[in-house]
Amino acid sequence: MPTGSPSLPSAADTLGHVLARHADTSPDRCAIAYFDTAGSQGSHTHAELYERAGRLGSLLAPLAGDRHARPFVLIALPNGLDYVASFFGCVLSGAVAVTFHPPSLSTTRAGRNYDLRTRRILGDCRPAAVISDTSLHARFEQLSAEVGLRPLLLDPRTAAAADLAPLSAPLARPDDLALLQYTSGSTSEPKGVMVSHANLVHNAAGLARNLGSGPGQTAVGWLPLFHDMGLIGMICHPVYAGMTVHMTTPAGFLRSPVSWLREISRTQATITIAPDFGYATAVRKIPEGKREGLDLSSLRHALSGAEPVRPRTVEEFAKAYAPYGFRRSALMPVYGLAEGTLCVTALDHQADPSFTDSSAAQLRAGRVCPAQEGPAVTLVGCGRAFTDDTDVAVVDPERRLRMPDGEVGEIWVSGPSVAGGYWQREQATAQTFGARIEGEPERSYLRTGDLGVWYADQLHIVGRRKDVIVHHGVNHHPQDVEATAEDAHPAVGRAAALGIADATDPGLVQVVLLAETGDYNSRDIDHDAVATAVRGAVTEVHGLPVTAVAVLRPGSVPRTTSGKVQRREAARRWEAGEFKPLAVWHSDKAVKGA
Amino acid sequence: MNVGNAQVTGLEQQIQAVLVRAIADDLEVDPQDIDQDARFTDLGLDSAGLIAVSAQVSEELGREVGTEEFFEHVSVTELARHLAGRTP
Repeated sequence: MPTGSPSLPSAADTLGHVLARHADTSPDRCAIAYFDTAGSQGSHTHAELYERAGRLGSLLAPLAGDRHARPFVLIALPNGLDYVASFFGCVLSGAVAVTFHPPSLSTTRAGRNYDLRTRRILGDCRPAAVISDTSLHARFEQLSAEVGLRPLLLDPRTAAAADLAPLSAPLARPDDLALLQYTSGSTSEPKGVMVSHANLVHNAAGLARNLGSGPGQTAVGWLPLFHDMGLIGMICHPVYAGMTVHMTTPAGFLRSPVSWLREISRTQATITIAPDFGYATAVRKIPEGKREGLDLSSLRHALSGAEPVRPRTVEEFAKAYAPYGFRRSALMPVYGLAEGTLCVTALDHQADPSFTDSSAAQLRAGRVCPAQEGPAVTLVGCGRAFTDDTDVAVVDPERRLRMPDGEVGEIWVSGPSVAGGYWQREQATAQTFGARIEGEPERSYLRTGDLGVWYADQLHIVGRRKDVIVHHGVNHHPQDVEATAEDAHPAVGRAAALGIADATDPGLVQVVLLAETGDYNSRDIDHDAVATAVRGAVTEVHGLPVTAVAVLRPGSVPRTTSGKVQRREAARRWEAGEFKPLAVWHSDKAVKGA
Repeated sequence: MNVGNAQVTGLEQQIQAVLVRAIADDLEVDPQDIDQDARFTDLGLDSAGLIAVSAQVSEELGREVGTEEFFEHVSVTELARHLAGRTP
């Protein structure tokens, strides 16, 4: 075994094999330190993590699979060391980790919702074991019984105390299923994305290569572990690369946003990952007086993903933290999705974030064109395919042909990080994972459902295909309309644009704009003026007639855990009159669509 | 300002003031603009905001006030009454 520089993993490796090697070559190096929600801190060296995971793995390895050769194991722990050890216990033993979470709130309504979702997931993946705090075992026993299951209930603390010999070697093989990720899809129809060990290693290795990750470096973050960006970006990738990870929880970050940047300073971290919202929070919620002493000069890469990267956030964060050593070029917009394991494209690691102003009218017509006159839309470059063996195509999904550079189409992805499909959903798998480009029969593509465009050698995300607002046969991307609404008046924080088709006449589309006030605003805002500014700007920039504008308090618009607008739910609430707007303007007429 | 009934104790008033200040801090508005009978979610607090507010309230009151208590006792008036009632 080579010493010194980290050995390159071979094709036969899984993440478990790589961890075993780190435990062998650098047993005492800190792998992961966690400040958990209870406020306690703990850490594991590579050797400790390997041994603890190996003991858990000994418990999991003998379990029988249900509708799969290997057992599924639902991990419903809070974010923390136990979660990481349990995940690696699955990785080492060849059990399939189903990454989940405990209920976030103990209220009756939240509990009902959690039980409903949990029951659906239990029924879908039929786990042989559930790992949670002992306090939740009775609840999981009950929920499992309701779908005809009796899984083994484990608490990693008590399991660790059991006198079990750890596994002597990793049992999984690269082609084995490693992870089932239930994305933020609907509760009634959960879709588990099937991620193999080979997928995990390819994505972790690709990230590590892009970022130059390796031993001696530190990653700092707070993303939740049931989310792919947290689990794979913040745990799998650094562990693979032999880095040290310092984690806290989302609640820890929200309670004290400055703690994130303090930890980066203290550990001289080279990498952090957060959604746009995290960087925006760091600008808004950390007053200048609290920034004193920060040193972000060690940060080589601050990845921004999981939700649209907003030019405003990039500029504000770079400006606010430049005096503390932050380099603008460290901000790295990335694009990815659970169906692609995590990362699909990334900005070149040395490049400054790049913005392209395109004529709004031209973009509406499906192409990027520098705005010479008239309103412009700012697009953020998300770089290129993150590995050489990943192909990212922008495709006309009707004709199945690649679009030329500069023209908008659906983003299709092919490569070793593309997951194997949705667990037991053949039809959805064939539709989403089995796409072929005309004249290129040799490889199949993942249809992301996202709209993008290649321009200046970079992928730019334009919107979600299914959310497109069609008006007079012209496509309007809601993200563009939202950006316009957000810029229309300084009091607007975030906005959501909805194209609500008439139930009886789908050609009749209501364009509804939900404008949340920013959380920084003062009491003397003229809400009617906000509504007026929003509809004026949207009509001016996009030529789109607006049916209604509602000015709402921050947080009113339903969003996924990663911050994406839940447009269908928002439309439902709008139609049901469930919002409590500060002001509403209504045109009293719907718009004739295509 | 309507505090619901005449039985408001001094302690309850102090707790109300702590809640109002924490909420105003998070929303960056004037404390006078916080309607003490409005639901927290209607004041513009989302779950992220409530985590920040509960952290500040816990620190100032010297005991843990969980986020869920903001959902079970949905306004400043109700939560202060609940917290005061729990206090020896």
